[in-house]
Amino acid sequence: MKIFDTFRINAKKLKYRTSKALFLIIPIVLLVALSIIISSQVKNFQIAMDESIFGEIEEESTVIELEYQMDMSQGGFNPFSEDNQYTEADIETIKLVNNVVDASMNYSLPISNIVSNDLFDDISLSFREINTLNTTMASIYTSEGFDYTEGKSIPIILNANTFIETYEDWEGEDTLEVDFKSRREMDPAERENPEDMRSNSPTKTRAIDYDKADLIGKEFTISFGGFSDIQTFDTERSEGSVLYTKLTDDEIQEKEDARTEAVSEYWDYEKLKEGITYTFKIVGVLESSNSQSTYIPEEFAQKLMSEYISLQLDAQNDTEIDTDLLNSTYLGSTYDLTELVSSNSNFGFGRGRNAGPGGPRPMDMDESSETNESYDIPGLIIELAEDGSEEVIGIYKDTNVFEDCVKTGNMINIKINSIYNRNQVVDDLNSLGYAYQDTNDLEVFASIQETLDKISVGVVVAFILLTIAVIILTMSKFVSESTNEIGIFRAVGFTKKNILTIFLTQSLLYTAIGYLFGLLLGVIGNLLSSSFVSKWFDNLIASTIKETFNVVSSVDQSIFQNFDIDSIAILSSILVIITLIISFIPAIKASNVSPVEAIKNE
Amino acid sequence: MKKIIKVTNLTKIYKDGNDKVIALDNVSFSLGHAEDLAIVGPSGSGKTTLLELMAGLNRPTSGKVTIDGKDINKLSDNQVSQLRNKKIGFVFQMMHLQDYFTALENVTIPLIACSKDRKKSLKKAKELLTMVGLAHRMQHHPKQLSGGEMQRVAIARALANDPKIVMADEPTGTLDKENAHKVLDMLFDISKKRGVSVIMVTHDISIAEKFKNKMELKHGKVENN
Repeated sequence: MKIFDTFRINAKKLKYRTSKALFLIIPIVLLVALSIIISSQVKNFQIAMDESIFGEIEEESTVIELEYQMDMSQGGFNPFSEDNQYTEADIETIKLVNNVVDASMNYSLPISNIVSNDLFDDISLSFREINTLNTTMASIYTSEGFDYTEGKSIPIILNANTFIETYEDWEGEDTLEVDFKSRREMDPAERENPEDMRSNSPTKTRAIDYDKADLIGKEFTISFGGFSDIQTFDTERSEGSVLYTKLTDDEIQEKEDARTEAVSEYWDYEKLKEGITYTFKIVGVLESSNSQSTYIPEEFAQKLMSEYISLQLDAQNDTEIDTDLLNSTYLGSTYDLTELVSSNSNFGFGRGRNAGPGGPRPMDMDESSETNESYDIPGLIIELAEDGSEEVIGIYKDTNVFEDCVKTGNMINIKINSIYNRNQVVDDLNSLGYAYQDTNDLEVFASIQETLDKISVGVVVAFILLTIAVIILTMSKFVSESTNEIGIFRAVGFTKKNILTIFLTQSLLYTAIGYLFGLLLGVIGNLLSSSFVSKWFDNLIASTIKETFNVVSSVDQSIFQNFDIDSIAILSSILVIITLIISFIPAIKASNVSPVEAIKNE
Repeated sequence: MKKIIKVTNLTKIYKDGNDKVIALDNVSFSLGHAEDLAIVGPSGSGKTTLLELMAGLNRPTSGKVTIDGKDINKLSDNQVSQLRNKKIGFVFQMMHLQDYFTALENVTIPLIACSKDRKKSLKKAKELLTMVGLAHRMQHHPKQLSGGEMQRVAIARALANDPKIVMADEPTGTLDKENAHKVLDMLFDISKKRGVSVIMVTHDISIAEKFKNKMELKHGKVENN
């Protein structure tokens, strides 16, 4: 028998017994159409949710900023203990968690006085911290390259949280007294007034207006090191209040001269004053980060640190410096052959937040540091005894110290492969002992997305089961009604295999017809349902999420006209495979029909 | 003369639970080319069983059926199917045409089984239908045909592959006398013209009388040869 003849036979059968064939074809049409519509609309729903809720921040939600939690059971967080920090070993552990793509320590470079004068017009912008980032992690924040190439401007990811201008406001006076006692007695609402909060010192800050689109791609320079401007006022503390007194120009000059003189004893002041300047190119601007981190490429950080230290070493004159002066008059980072601790802060260079040399001094600063003048020397590394006794050995001269030191930090950036795995990663981190509470609201939406994924899977499973049931039931019915027909075929010389082929092609043909019409119906149905689903989605968003979140943006109705080609392809392949397999059951049954029984059947 | 079919000690026992039903008991006979044979007997005498065994549609409990020199019980299902296709034409009691095929297409069914070229098949089928006097009914479906016409289509189908034997199981059972005789005459005519042997099973003595050879079956045994 020719294979074409089996199709001819089945085509005749279909034409002559159309109503019977419809018992198989119609359910297949409906199943295919419904699954196309449902899976497409579920997918569209997800896309619409992504666009309206997640938007641009979805990519950033694939990062978890794991911050060190203080352990209260051991008497609270001790900022001076270096054990309170994450190490490279933690990074390695976290990298083993499922769905974690990469993890990196977020530590800032131990560099004082990081300033850009040409990022914003007429504003000198200080960076409190510059952090390193590898290229994998960088992909969270920028789609552009983050590789450092010598001789080219260095890629940098800025943080909008750091776009703050510092200025002085003396309200027309030469002195300013801030009374903390009365502030505490104020009405809480009034106390929380941001304007009022800023007025506790003559140094004020204001956010700088910026346009992200203008910033991306812009080249600008940052200088590292150098000496900061002399503070223009004196601070006098008494119980419950602080008195700020403006310095005269002469007084400022006097202070500057004193610094120049002190530094010049051991260093070439002019050389050190310059700092080192690099040209950067902005490849990303973080707008929703909780941190103050500005990121530069890891490889560049090594080079920067070594040049930063070299500058100080080169500027040194031949005068031997007394170790007593190090860490008292001349401040720098300390190195105990294990850890490098920045002068910016007391507890590791990852922690400094408000001790930047350019910014306002902390309120509770040690009195002694005011009476005995001390100077930050950019690039100075002070070697401490290895035994932890804090004994000063001398100036550390190896410029590779940053590369060699053990890096610790209090924050680890973890990149996960998808926002949908965020909950699982957070759970795993917690069971590993890394306390992390996800306050990210996107979690809720991620779980909705998960539910939608389950619906998709459910639709596919239901589709498979129903298709199997429909094919087996209807084809078995066809076979049992066809014993007579089978008998005739067998009596005139059709083999068992011929019968098998005939019934196999019958269910394949009918299913194929059902599939094609189902596809057509699904496509039309999907388009017709788009406006309905779109309205439903808008109402749902309006009545739920929009009430609590501002991030919602409206979604174009055309999203709901999309087809989930992937699902359709998967459904089609599943249909082909299961039809092939399942059809064998009735077809084998048909081939085993005894021709004798078949003929006697009447 | 070489025998086209030879049946030797053919026995068929059906098991019905613990009971054994002997449908055929040690039947032997043979038939030459272009000869005819009527197997007569009341219903339940085993005549249809005998026909099935001869056509290889069923396997005997013991005994042998040789068609054109081949022991059909030694052939595989595929080989028996082929042999049935090439050597045997079947005419059933209930016409048994495929309702979704036209008269013409029904005649081509044996030719489909042996993958014969479609054009040639249709030409052959047309010839045969013309021969049985149904040239004007070729494109009709079985439901549009009378009983006699359907049986003539069935005869044309049985002859499609130029078989050596036509086996007919009460082909006239449902026809009126006039039509029955017409069909019968047609069978004899073809047998003579084409050199085809005809074996017919019937309970109707008057029809059996028309055959040169008669064999009577009673309770599975040959009564009279």
